Amino acid sequence: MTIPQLLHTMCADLPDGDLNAIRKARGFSASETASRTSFASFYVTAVGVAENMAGLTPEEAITLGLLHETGEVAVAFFERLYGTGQPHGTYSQRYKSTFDAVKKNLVRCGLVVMSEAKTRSDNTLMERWRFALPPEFAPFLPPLPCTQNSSPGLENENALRKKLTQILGQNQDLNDSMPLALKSGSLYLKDQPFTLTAFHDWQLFAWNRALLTYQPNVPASLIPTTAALKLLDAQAWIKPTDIEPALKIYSFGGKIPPAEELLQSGWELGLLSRLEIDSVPHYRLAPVLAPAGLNAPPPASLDWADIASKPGSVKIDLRLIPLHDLDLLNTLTHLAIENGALYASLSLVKLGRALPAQRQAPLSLWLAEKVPAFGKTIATVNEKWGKTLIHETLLIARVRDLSLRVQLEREFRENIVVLDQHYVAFPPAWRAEVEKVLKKAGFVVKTVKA
Amino acid sequence: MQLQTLDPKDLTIFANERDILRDLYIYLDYIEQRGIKRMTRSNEIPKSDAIKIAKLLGDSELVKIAQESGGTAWGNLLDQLAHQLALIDYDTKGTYIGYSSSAPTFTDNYVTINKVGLKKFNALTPAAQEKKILENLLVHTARELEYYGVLSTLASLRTYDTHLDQVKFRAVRQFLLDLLKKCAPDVWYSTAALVAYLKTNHPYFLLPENLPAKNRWGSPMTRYKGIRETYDYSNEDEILEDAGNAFERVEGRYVERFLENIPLILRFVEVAYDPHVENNQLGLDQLKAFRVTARFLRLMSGKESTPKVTVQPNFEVVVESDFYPVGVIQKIGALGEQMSSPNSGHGAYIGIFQLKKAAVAAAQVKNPDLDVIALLKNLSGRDLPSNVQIELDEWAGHADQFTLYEGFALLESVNEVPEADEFTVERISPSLRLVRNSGQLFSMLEALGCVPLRVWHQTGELALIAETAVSLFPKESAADTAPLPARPVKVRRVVTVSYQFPDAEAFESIQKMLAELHCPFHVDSATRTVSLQQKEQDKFDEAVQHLQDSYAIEIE
Repeated sequence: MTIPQLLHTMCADLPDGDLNAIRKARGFSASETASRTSFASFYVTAVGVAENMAGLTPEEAITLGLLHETGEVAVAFFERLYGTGQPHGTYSQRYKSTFDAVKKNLVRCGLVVMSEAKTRSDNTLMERWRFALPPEFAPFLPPLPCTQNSSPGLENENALRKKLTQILGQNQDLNDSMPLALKSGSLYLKDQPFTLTAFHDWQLFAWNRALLTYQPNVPASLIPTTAALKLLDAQAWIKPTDIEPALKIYSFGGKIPPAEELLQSGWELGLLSRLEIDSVPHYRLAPVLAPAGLNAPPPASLDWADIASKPGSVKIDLRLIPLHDLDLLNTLTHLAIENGALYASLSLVKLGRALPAQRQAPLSLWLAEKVPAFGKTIATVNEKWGKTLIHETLLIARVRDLSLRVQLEREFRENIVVLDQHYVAFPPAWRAEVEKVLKKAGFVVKTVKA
Repeated sequence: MQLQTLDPKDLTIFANERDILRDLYIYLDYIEQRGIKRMTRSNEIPKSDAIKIAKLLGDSELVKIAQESGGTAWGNLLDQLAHQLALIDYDTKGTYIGYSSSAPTFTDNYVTINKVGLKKFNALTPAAQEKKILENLLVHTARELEYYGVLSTLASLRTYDTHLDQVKFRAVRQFLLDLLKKCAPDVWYSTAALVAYLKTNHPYFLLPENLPAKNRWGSPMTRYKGIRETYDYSNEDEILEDAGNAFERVEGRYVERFLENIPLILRFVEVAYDPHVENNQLGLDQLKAFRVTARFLRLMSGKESTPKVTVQPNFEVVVESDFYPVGVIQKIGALGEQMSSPNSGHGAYIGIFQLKKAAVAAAQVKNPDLDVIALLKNLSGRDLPSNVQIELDEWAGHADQFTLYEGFALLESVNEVPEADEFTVERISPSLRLVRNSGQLFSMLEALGCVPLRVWHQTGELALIAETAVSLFPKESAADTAPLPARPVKVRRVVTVSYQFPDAEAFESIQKMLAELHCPFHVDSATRTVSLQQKEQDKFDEAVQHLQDSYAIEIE
């Protein structure tokens, strides 16, 4: 059921007592509830919503925020807010008191819509009840208490740098299932090539691992770390005590660490920024890891690169290199460890596979300028690139009949490429259409398989 | 054997128009193409399949029966026959799922083609195939006196503890067929005369002369004891051997029921019923007359005749055969479309096919060694009409007008790449090659420093190639420069009037009033603005009118 369907069903089926309660709570007149059909239109107006929202407990407001994100839910969803009557027994016995509380505090005050889902299953009535927050009410949800401060705060790169030293064989963690390692001249995070996205995944993984919050069968959205990322803002600062109640609601049923510990851990892994305001730590989301800028001029110098230690190679200082530069070097060069240090050297294959824009990036231009071997090879690759192509996932056809070839060209214009007098190529999805044309023209397809 | 003839003009004549061999192949084709999953409880063919099969058989009466009762006796006969001839396989035993199961369950019981059995059957001549079916029916047909046949209309007799268990029915059926062989074709004979002939000359053709005097429990038995003529359970209708018409009442009834079973199913006979007697009655002499068909005598004569194929100048191929010539039909059917009704009636098979260009070319593609002209010449035993021969020559050439290469890659290179020779399947032009093992080729070219670019096209559209690359394929700039066809967009003009309210109270009141008047409107709470279409202006004025006691609204 969609939320408008829920609303209309509720307005049609609601007992008079509940309808009157909503009318009084929202401040509608008797004439506005006289027609059940038009009441649905009145219900979603702003009348009385802000006042009723203001009367909610902080937990109720947060729960409604989660309800807005989730959409339609069953009564069990509100266990996080009102608990259950008894831990055992049938579904109806367990959630009777929860249902009563939701109806009294949220439905009868005209904030939450509820209706019975008309399903074919033989569930009990209690299992069939569905609840939702009309999206029109979402702007009235009170935000989490936060502080505005223009200070950039403090970012923590220690864990990231420590992780990078794994490349050199240092700080190996046997429990880390996403180790960073070199394989055939390329950097890999477990089995996938090192990229900024993959590294961000590792940060999230490491955060969960540090807090031991992973639980099977719990939706990812309800894991405390995911909930914290959702609740935190990129601009405003939030202190741990303010986020604590929201975490308890969002991650209900899971293992929830203390908010201070959770946010501190996120900061240590570089996911959050931290700022002391009145000696109280506040947190917000750290700036997103962005790829290297491709159009900037080449830098005059790079503090992390040493081109003097080995001719034709660049020695990389893992304590200083920005992650986006490491990502680009992984794409363009052959990485290897020598004498306990990471070196980037020429790789014709990798340069050939890189996009032209990557070969023209400021870092590439700097390499070409400072390391002659790089400059020469990049020039060679730029010259050869795009002159030998292997086209995959294509169907190629030999068409001996000229009229048929002309007909195919006319029918499939931009989806067919004429290769030669007798050959055409087209994407596989057009096969059925091409066969239709052939059939209509009285031709048959002779297929040659690889 | 001299039997009295009969004029059937006052009788109801019935002839089976279905060719069992043709229908059997239709059923086998259906299984091969679509498959059947039998019903879990009854192991029968599901209703949906039964209807589809009936439709394929081309008989509206069968379709109607299948729709009403979920299956047809004829369809079940084909199914049993195919299974008994080892042409198809399926589970017939099932499993008893639980201790309390009273019947077996058939889970996922799919009917599959027995390829070995079908190959053997296909290798037989049409006449041999008919004989195989006859032999199967002689053995497996249920006892005619007690069970209905597929085409039966006469009622079955109620029997209990009879001497019928002593009867070798296969031999009895064969004996009667041998008698029918002596009849002249297409002559109506009196069934009563045949019964009389049997009574005189072969009185023990059904029940042996010497029968045990007692049954297995030691109770005394008479010759016809246990055979009932009525459906009441009294013993008053017992047939006594010394009654004058005892032979007609038992053996005579058997002959009638035999005639409307195997011989009628296989179109060996046509039968004529007494029109004044209602069906399903146990009365005597209801199947008044019969006549044997020429196809029966041809089959029994043992002379094999080859199907006659004639190719006509209008591209029609006429196939004539005493029996359904499946091999010839498959060969010619692949070259065109069947024009005539597949029902061949009770006579010999006659099929007309129209040769089609696309079908000939498709057959050529399927089998590149196929020589269509030679095949038709061979089947017809003569030269083809010259116009047909010329056209067929041209049609066969259509087979390789369009050759599709599937699973290959295309190597496009500005410079000559001799290293790619071993991967090349076709050399399209100096710069284009059709190659296989493209992954291996790509690695090799990379290692050689050719800086190859691997382009993965999407399934539905061509990937755009970078501007600096040299390629026949569309470039990235093509996406920007290609003029998009103008998309027709019809725009409806809507004039909206907005009213901004100075205070929240009046703003809320007007919203409520508009909603009450069922007036569609939009609100912007931030600016306290109510917007509505101009055509709803009357309703807004009405709302203002209703609120005049509370607010003196003045519009600037």
